[in-house]
Amino acid sequence: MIMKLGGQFWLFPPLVFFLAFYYLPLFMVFEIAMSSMFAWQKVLASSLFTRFFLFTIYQAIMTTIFAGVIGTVAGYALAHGKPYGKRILSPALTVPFLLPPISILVGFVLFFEPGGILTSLFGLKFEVFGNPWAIILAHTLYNISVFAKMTESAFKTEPGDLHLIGEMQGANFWRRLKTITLPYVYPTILAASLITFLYAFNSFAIVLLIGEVKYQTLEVMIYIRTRLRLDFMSGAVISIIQLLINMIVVVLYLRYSRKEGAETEGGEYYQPIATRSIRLASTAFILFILILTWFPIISTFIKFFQSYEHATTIQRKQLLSGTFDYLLGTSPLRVIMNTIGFAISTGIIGISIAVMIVLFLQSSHSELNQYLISFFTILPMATSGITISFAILLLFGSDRNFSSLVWIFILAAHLLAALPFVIRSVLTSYGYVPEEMLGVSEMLGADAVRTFRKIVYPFIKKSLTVAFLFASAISVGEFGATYYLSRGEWITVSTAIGKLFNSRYTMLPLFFASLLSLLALSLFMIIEGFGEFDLKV
Amino acid sequence: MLEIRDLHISFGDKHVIRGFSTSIPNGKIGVLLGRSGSGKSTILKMITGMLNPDYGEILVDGINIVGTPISKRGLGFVPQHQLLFPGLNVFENLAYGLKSQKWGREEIKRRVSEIAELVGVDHLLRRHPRNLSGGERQRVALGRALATYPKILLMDEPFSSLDESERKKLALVFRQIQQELGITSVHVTHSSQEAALLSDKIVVLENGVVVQEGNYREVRRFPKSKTVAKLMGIPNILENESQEIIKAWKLEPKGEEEKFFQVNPWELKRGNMGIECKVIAVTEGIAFLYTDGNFLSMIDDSGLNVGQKIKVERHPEKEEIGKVSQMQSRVGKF
Amino acid sequence: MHTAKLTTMLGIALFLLSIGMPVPQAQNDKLVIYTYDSLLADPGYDFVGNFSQFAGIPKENIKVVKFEDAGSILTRAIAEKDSPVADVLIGIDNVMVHQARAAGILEAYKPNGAENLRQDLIESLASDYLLTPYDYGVFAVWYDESRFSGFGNNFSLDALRNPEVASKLVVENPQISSVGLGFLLWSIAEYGATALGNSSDTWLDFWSDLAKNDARLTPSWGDALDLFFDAKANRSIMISYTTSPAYGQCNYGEDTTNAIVSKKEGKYTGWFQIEGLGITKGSSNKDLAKKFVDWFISDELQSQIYGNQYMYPALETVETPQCYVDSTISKDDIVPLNSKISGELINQTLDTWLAEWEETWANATSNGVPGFSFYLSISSIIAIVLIARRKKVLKA
Repeated sequence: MIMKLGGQFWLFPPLVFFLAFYYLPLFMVFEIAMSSMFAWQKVLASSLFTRFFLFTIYQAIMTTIFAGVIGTVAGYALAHGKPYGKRILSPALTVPFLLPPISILVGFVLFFEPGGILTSLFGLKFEVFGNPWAIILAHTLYNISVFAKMTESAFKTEPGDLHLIGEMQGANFWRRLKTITLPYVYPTILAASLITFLYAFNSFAIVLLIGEVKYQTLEVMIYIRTRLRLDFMSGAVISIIQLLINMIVVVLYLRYSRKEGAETEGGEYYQPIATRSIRLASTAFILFILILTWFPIISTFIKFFQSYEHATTIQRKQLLSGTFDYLLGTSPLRVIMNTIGFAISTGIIGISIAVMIVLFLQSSHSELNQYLISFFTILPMATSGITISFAILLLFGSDRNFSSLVWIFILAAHLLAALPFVIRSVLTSYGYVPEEMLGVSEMLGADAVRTFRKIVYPFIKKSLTVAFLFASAISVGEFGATYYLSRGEWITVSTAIGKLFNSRYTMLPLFFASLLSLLALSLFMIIEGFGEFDLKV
Repeated sequence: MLEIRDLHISFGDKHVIRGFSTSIPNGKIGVLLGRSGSGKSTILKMITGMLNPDYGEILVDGINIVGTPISKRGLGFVPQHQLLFPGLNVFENLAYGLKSQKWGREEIKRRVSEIAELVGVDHLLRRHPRNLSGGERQRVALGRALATYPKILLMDEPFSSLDESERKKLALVFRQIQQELGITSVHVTHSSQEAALLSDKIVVLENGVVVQEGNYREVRRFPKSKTVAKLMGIPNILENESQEIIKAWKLEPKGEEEKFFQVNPWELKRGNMGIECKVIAVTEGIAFLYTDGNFLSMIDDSGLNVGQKIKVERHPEKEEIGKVSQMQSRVGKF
Repeated sequence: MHTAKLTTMLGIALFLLSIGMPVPQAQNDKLVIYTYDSLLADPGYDFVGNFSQFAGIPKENIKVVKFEDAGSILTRAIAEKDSPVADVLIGIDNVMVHQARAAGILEAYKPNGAENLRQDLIESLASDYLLTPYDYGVFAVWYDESRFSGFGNNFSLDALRNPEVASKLVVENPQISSVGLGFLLWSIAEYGATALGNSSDTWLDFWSDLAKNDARLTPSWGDALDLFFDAKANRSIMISYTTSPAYGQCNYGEDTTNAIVSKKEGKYTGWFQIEGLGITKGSSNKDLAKKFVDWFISDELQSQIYGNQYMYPALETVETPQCYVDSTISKDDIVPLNSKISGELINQTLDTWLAEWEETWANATSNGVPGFSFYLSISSIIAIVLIARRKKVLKA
């Protein structure tokens, strides 16, 4: 009995966290939105809302279509085209997905800006600012890797015997593509589409910085209304509309990602023979995509080194010293320290919360509990960074100490972004712990912590490490909530780039963007080292 | 008639199949029996055309099919995991090959209903694969393979993912249909039970070569080596060939090529003399014993206790047919 | 709202999260100042250091929080209304003062030395000293003569609507920037709006043309300036002040830029901006804050405005440098447009105007927002797929 109580105690901290930083703040948003019908009328009747609502959906759909077509073909080429140098090509394709959107954007602008690579190399002109296609293109580049990696693993596991039967019975490539491959990868494509849609639908940094008010996602709309115009009511109404759509997408995603690969399993995987010309074609296609997705990273590096080379000694020294105080509110070094601090804290607290949830589940082997916990901890996935920070501001913003304690709220927002991933991955590996072992341990009278250490921990060790790294990566890349909440010296590298984005100081943002890319790259290599990198949630 | 002559294949330095030859007479089922890694799947792949042999011939009715495109070899294939085309219903699955071969609408309809009746799925034609039981799916898979009038039917562990009762029932259905059509078949498996249910001839493979050929009874009664004996599920093979046991129980060596020792469970009895064994489990009249590195089973209803140490003697007797068949599945794997 | 209960909840949460972490206390002995980042920034006057010397307090006791633009200062201060962090706000101008007044975030204070300021500034900004003016200027269209040939003898905002001109123009976002807001009011004053008794909102047509013809929009005056100076960006016209050309003239003895205001028949008209500073309601450091305001309109600071802020000081006695006379339109020749729009009207209508502006700016081009047919085709594709799947299920 004592042990039981001990086990249930562990639910308390995660519960308080989610209540204080998610459910109660979100309740405030609902309360404000529901307090008057007038706000709904005002929002829904405004042509601006109609325009931006339709634009948000439109760009998300276009992003999904473009990234879907290019990424799926790339996934097929990777899985079946036997491209030369696949060992390098395949992981290289994953990296852009881990990059924070803001560093993609920096490279993107470098490529397209007047005097950038596009004009100097090809003489073409493409206006990035205030151009909807620039937004769609930036989103597409970012999401190609999602599709490529997710579909690659699906294509790879196509049942070989089915293709053999198809071939024996005289079905040509196209008929087999239609009757075997497509039905088999369909859930994966759908899941990847939903993820991409979710990403583009909630995009903030890219649209805020290059949309120039003409193009806004609902996310940017909420930001402008609540932060710049202090129109909390309209902000709350838009938040709720956005939340509802996100919920639908998340629910569909969870449904299809579970369905994935369930229908056929076992047997050997399909490995068609790739002729030389197929291999060459798939290599060329993947290289093309790599150039497309890597150019932001590479042009950022090049541009940074160029400007560093041309800089005077004083300018170089100033790079990390305090001369940017008036733009950033603090020194660049402090910005980096903040980023690292938030990343590590998000990782540690994130997996601590996951472990507490496991400790609780251990002591109450009920399916219902597990289901409820999965559900309530995954909901933040459907809530955008801006909505979360708006909600937090509503609940806590009037507190006298809000500004000095703002780091807690930024950290909470990072955690809310990371926890759905962390908890889901930890719970998945917790599912592999044999129930009997838990029962035996309980009979032998081991307490929750001991049972965890001796039995559960070995099963979830790997996923805890990967979850830690993934949570840190999310924290490093988080833009919206930090941008919304940050005060005084509490600013991160991503948001610093955002602040310097329009300024004439290029070296520091370039340095920051290069730093982020390097960080993403090394995180990726560590995760890849664990051999468990999986874009699926 | 399927005839395979001197098949060789290497992957890198690994000579995987080293001169495989066999033949399956018209209308008969030949089983390729072997552990995983024995090379049976590789041979199957060479028959289907997924792999090309380095050397050797595969003759279907006297014509070498090595090098012939997969679709022109006249093969039907029933895979291991009840794989049906996921987006298509039963009718469309059965009609798959006919459609690929551009049959007419009416002809397809006629052929599909014929085949559906043959394999007993005529009431399921509009169903989707995910709404079928494992057995029903495998019937559809057989029907699909037969629909295009193949010369040779290939089966890759067709019952391995079915449960016990379904397995036997379905094996009989398959056997009946195969004999009715008189279609020459190749059945690949690692399970002696499946081999028992569906075979005219057994070809035992080990490390890419044939170690024994013959019908089920012959191979089962006179395994040439310990490996074959084990594959055939023969009980109580001595792992650690202790001279003490051989002497005490007066065991005769078996096997033509490789000698091994074995004792039948019904011959062992509890006694005052003989070999000391430890009882490690007792279930439904069978005692499982351990002695000197060997796990043995013994038929005994006398109420032994787990952990007890007993003396065991051997009394060579005639086979107790009933008991043996009843036990076989449980004892065999021990 | 149930703040009390929620604060308890927060207390528990914070306790759990901050075990072992020292919670920094809000310090009340510090003077906290909110301002924008370009205040007295170029080439730079250390007003913090100088005030600390003047007041005889350590420099560490003065904390300056810098925002990108005045709009952010105002929204932050309004958000913190119930528990103000700042003691002094610098940079609220004669437009934003109405929002600040309506929000009740400021406390009136008549500083020592107020009698030396230009009295018309006090009248126009806040006659009750809710804010005290420290500088003023006139918004102007500023362009680089080496890259843009100019507008000829007369000028009206209409000239900016020309695609050739608009594609070189940078304007500041009126939602965030006080310069952008000033320009918005200039356009309203020049073109007229229904709220002013005109028959239609012609000012919106002006903005629609700017958006259509590729004028760029930046969040702040500083960002616009960076774009202006970036030769590759090819944006040689921006919204700034009549005093902007003085920068080059005073620092390098020559200037290749020119700033103009509306000019018709030899008569200049323009929108004046008066920037003020004030003390927040509920400031916990009121005495020091008052001292700071007094000092800010003293000769010591006011004499720095010309050289570091490139605006006109509010203190009348500071002499205008020759380089200003040489390079700028004299402020005394410009007839203020401000009188066209009363403070009361601004207070009532500014939100509507900003909303109308956003709508016009966004709707100027239909680019990127597909028509009905896009959504019709997307939904019919989805419907077809769904129906096809449903049919299969029914068949089975």
